[in-house]
Amino acid sequence: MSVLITNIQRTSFHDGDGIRTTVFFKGCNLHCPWCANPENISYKIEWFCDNSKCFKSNGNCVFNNDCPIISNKSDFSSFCCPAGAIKFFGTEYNGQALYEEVMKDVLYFHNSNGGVTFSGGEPLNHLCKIINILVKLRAENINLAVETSLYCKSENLNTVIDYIDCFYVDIKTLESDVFFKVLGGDISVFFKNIDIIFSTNKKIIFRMPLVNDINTTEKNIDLLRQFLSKYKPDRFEFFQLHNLAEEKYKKLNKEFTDFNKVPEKFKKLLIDICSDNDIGVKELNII
Amino acid sequence: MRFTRSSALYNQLYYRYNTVRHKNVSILKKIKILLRKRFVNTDSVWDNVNISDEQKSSNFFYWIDENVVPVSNKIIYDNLTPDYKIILENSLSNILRNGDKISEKIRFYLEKIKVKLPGYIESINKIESGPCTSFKDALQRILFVNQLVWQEGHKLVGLGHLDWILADYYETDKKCGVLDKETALELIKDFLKLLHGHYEYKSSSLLGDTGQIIILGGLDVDGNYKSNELTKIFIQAVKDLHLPDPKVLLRVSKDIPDDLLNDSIDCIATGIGCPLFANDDVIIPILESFGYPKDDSYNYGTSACWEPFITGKSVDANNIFQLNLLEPLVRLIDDKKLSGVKDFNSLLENYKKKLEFYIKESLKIVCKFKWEKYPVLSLFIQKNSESKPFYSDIGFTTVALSNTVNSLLNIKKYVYDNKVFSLDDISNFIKSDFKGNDKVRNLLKENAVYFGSDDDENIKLTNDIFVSLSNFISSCNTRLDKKIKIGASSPSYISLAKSFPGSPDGRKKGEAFNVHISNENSKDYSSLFSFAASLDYQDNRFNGNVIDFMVSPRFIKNNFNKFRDMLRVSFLQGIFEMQINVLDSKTLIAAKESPELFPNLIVRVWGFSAYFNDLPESYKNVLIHRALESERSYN
Repeated sequence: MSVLITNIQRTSFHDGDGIRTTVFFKGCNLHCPWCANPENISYKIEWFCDNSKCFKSNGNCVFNNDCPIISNKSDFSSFCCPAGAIKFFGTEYNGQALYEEVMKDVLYFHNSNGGVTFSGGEPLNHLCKIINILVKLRAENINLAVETSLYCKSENLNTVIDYIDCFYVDIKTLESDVFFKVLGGDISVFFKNIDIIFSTNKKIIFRMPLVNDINTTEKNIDLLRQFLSKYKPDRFEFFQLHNLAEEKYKKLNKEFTDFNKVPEKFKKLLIDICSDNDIGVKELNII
Repeated sequence: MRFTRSSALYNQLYYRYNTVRHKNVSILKKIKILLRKRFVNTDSVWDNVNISDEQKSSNFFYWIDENVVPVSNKIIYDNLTPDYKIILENSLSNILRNGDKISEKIRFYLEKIKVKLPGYIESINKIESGPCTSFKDALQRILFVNQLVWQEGHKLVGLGHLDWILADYYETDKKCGVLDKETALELIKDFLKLLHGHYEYKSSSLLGDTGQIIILGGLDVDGNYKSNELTKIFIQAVKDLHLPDPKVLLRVSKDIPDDLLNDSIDCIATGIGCPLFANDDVIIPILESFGYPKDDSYNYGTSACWEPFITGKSVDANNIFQLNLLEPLVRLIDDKKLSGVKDFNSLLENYKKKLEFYIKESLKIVCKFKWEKYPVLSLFIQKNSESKPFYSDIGFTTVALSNTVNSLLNIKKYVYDNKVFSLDDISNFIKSDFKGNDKVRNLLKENAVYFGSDDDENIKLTNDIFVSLSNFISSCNTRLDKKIKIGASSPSYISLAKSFPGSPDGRKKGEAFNVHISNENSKDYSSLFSFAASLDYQDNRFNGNVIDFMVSPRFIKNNFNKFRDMLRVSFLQGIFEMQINVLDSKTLIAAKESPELFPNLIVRVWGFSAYFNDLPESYKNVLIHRALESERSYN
């Protein structure tokens, strides 16, 4: 069984305890407009042309006129650009190849209480395909974490839950109509999976991106208050959005939205809500 | 006429030019400065030295007459460290030989000091009459020998393993109640400030390149990590003073205590570029297998930058020649017969043939080198039964190993695998310096990210070249009665690149070579460390192999514990040496535009630190470029 991966980031300092390797899967059932990894939304390999490297001139390529850009074809899958101008998001890894790649840094994991973090995309839609790798990694005493929206089939979650040590759960919005209209999903899926992970003793950290006018509404804040009074994570984290992904949106011919920064008073509000519920809170500095 | 260090004229000009090379003044003023200097033969130094009574009040006496400049037709030994224990354990009277000309001159010199500076008579008398009696006395003796060695004309004079050699004096004084940590810290700061005092005079190739290196910490002969309060005090002093020199090299091991590693990272995070880390777990076994006895191997220090040798017993010339590993490749590409090379393995074999020839040419030059006598320095170097220093080997450094590996793998990919270009195409691109072929250049440049990344192919090729190089050197029959060491790091990544043609890694003519073992395009520190730990440093390949990477101040601050853990694992993996430049591109760019706003900004250059404002533009540009690349890739 193979999975589609866009990046394997070694020596990650921001994706969990210790020094970690973060694996980014391609494919997610939501489409958040602020997604910092838009290349991980589609489940398919996506191609783009880096014009700065393209040697097309007067309708010809000095290297290979079979180039699909020259011949206006849409199928790039069987063409390898000698100049590297045609690039793609998504590489197939079988389980063993992925295992060997993450194990390169096992010394770092063991000596820093680090491990492997699965991200994406929605990792819970992919990990069930490579369950044998999770078994092997656990056998090596490697700490495993997921960064998840929890928007997946509950059976996928149940398949892998025993192997995961820590869940970083996105708290995007708790308003069901916003969840549907903006993200494209049914919020009941999220709530069902929240109940599942809270029925375990796993470490759970909530992460909230601050999206102006989307999840900073009064209604969402009220819902958050109620939510946190019921579901108490080990920590609540929040972060301002950034525009580092703008280039990726261009490559994918997708529209990039530059959300305004959320005011400081909102952050204070979050801190107060967490404090009222005895939940540790931290602002992440992504950049 | 080819100038080499063996040429008498070159040496004469070099020693004179060195007195004004760092002066940022007009030619006329430089001539005036030259006219004030007294250029003397090395054996006339002590007849001409004047003692100034203008030395600022200090705990210690330390004076170098900068107007007396020894010149010679030969190379004056430099880049080494006297054995300061000799002056700590003996009186100067016992060290000086009766009837010996130089000893008489030193005695006369001492009398001059006593007349001019009566406030230091007691200190001088102590040094003359008996062994060291206190911590303060020990620091004074080290300064005294240090100034003698500089005055004799030696440059890049090291300071030795100070926390080890001073430990007993420190502990004894503490027990007697005459010293505590705070007083010791102040004495050491005074000591360091005095050493820094002749900064311009002491600087060699660039301002800051003084070679005043302090070795701290390390494994003792029983394999235990040996550090003490002085180790931390020296690091604290260097951090507090925030000067580019003297600098610290900390010998590390996987067993280095956490608190010492924390202190070192705290110091590094201030941006002063030290300590540099040297990994005992890797270096000591290699020294032993090279032939150094166990005791000596555990007592290693380094030359001015990072080249290991046996402190106090060695007059090794560790940076006597720089090899440019791109030179054979460029000659190969120029070779008309090259189009007949049908596959990459054949190309590589041809490269190695050119490399072997290049080494033979280089060794012919080195064989002509002659060295000047060093009577004062020799008093403070341990001798064997034949009254010669125990070790007098030579060391080569190399530049452009990174560029060479990247170039070869680019050729493999684009000529032999993808068949995008021919070898003639590559040759033409380089001859035209990529004129009209920016896309080709960008293509080659962006793909030249192999070196420093831990893919098997990259490691294999790098080791192949590195080992071939050292084998060629070892197998060459030279008249030199010396072993030759090599290393994968060098100061000359800009100077040797200035007039050097472009290369198949997308480098244009004159652009600096890549720095030591680095890869700013990599997104992964662990990949770089793993690559460095996989290189083969055995046999004679230990003359400095430094990972050099950049990190922003904010990154260390926000991730201190993880950063420390990462470094410790890199020692465990087996990296050889490491130095870290803590800076950000925004500050560097602002400092370049408005230097007056950043008078104290310090950066790590090669094996030394310097004020950013003192650097030539080419060095500033390299640092800015590297900082921008590393920020794009990582933090």
